[in-house]
Amino acid sequence: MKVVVRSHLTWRQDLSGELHLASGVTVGQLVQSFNLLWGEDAMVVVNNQMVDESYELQEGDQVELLVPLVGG
Amino acid sequence: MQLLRIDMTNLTYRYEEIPDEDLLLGGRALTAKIVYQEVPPTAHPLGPHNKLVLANGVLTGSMASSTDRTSLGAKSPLTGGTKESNAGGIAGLKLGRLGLRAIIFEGIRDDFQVIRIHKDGVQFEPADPYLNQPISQSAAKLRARYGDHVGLYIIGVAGEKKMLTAGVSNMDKDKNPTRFYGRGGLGAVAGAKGIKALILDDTGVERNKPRNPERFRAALKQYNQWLRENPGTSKMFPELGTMAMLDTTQRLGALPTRNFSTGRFEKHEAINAQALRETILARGGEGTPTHSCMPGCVIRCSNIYPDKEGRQVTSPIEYENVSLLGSNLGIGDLDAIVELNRWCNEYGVDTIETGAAIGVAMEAGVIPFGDHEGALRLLHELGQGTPLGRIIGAGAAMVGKIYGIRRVPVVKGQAMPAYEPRGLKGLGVTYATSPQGADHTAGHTGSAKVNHHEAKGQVEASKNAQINATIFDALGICSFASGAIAGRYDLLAELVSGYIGLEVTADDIVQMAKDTLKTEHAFNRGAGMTKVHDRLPEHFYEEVNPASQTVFDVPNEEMDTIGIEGSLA
Ligand code: SF4
Repeated sequence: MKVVVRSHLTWRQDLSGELHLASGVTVGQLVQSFNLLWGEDAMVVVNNQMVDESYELQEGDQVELLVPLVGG
Repeated sequence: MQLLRIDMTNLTYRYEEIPDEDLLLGGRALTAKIVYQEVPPTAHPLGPHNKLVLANGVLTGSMASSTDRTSLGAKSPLTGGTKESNAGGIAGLKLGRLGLRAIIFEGIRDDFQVIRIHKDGVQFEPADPYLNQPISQSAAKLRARYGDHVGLYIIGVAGEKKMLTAGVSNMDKDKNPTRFYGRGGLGAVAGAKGIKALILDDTGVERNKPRNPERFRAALKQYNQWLRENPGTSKMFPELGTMAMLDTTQRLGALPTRNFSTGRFEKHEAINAQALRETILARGGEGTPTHSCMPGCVIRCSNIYPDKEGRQVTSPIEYENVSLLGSNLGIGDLDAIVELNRWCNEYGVDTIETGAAIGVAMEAGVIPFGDHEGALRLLHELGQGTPLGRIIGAGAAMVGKIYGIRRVPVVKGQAMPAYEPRGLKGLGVTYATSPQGADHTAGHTGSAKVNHHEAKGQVEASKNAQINATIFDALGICSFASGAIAGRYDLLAELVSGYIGLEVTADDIVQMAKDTLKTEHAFNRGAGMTKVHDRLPEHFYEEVNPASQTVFDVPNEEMDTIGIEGSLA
């Protein structure tokens, strides 16, 4: 299964690109594998939607890693 | 450590000792307690019974990174409830060096004074040479008169005219008088007391030292390490500043746009962090994308924006300002937004309240959305005190009332900051239930593990965030450190114990924050607030934010569990 990751984290541009994953992987597991804390290190949207960590990734999903909202 | 009481009616003062056991009370915890104990909740905010309290955070002056914040508190003329607004800059450091934890200003007067505090006491001088002019000009004259080394609190013409948008400013470490205690109209309270400026002259005093240096140093080492390890505090803020939020809120549909009518702005790429950074770097000169407001801050979220010739226009350009004075007004031009920001600073008004007020005026058709020249004209009218300028200067709620507009983004009379509450529902809960009125710094839920578009979990997220924010505000720690430190209260307890020399636990710190929230709610109840005031304006419940495709649907009954009659009260 192929998913596309786009990182808006300027310090983790290495994460952008296409990934091949086994089916059944959740977006929470993917983010964990990047060594990022959900919500704290990145805010995550899939296909322009907010999702929970338990969301199971699907073929062709677009995962975006956004700068977390920590104030401002 | 002492407390200084200044009677502005009679221009007298006296010092009081703070007993050691009260040293854990600082910043917001101290302003809340003094306002609760000493101000009748029915007092007129601009009258003789209101008090203006300036209080250092517990760690302010300790030289730990990002901890030199001070709080200003009073009964707010904008919300009618208790208010605390805090800022960085250098004045807190000077206040601490003078051995002061807090200053309480009492009474009122019709003229304006400059109050100079030095190691031997307090002096008063007429403020006439500094009135009715831009803050940068009066601050420069004050520095010329009192010395380049002093700390400075100052109000602008908005505070002199007692406008509800008026804030109080202090200087950053490079002497820019642009670090604002913006929210809640506290500049009007200062104006009513005749306080034009407060000079903190620390000549001849030693810097503060931790009472238990070894313990403090050990905790500090860990604290610094966490700030260095966290990507937010070590990479994001130094590189992009708070403007990094903009692309995220745009994506979430939570970027206030055209009077909060939607959460996405079509010109966002012209005003986002990247655009700001590229503009600053391309222009060079006095501009810099990374800057700190106080000495020793390793996060350095601030910046200096230069004009096309490389000369400084203002500092800092922050996410809140770019949103409220930009997307919220339909203005997609950085130079235009920065110019509005600069004049807000010069007149001494809160950028959030003023941006929201102009947004409502645009909705009313006073000027069209996107009209940056019109917005600047309104701002100059505010500075001149014309009738229209005074309407804008009275804040968003008043503009809505005067022009018959119902879509007004306020809670408890105070404008919402730059997070659209249908696109980021936890912030909506904080806006509704915080004793401070709509205020993102009262409990930011942006990093909570919730789906920000759903109602589920938002009340719990807001509750935790409100307690956390109160801790930071009381200790004097910049909330931008919270990504690295939030929840690690054991370390904060170590830092505090080492600094003030008392045995303080994490539980003590959390309890202090809870007590503070209770005190604030109790004051507000005395001032006549009920759970009716813990609501967002009704259109947010009924009209869909087209960008997030959501309405605000956190149930009122659930919000009430943490509001003025709930568990935090
Ligand atoms: S993070 Fe920014 S606002 Fe906070 S203390 Fe540092 S420079 Fe000042």
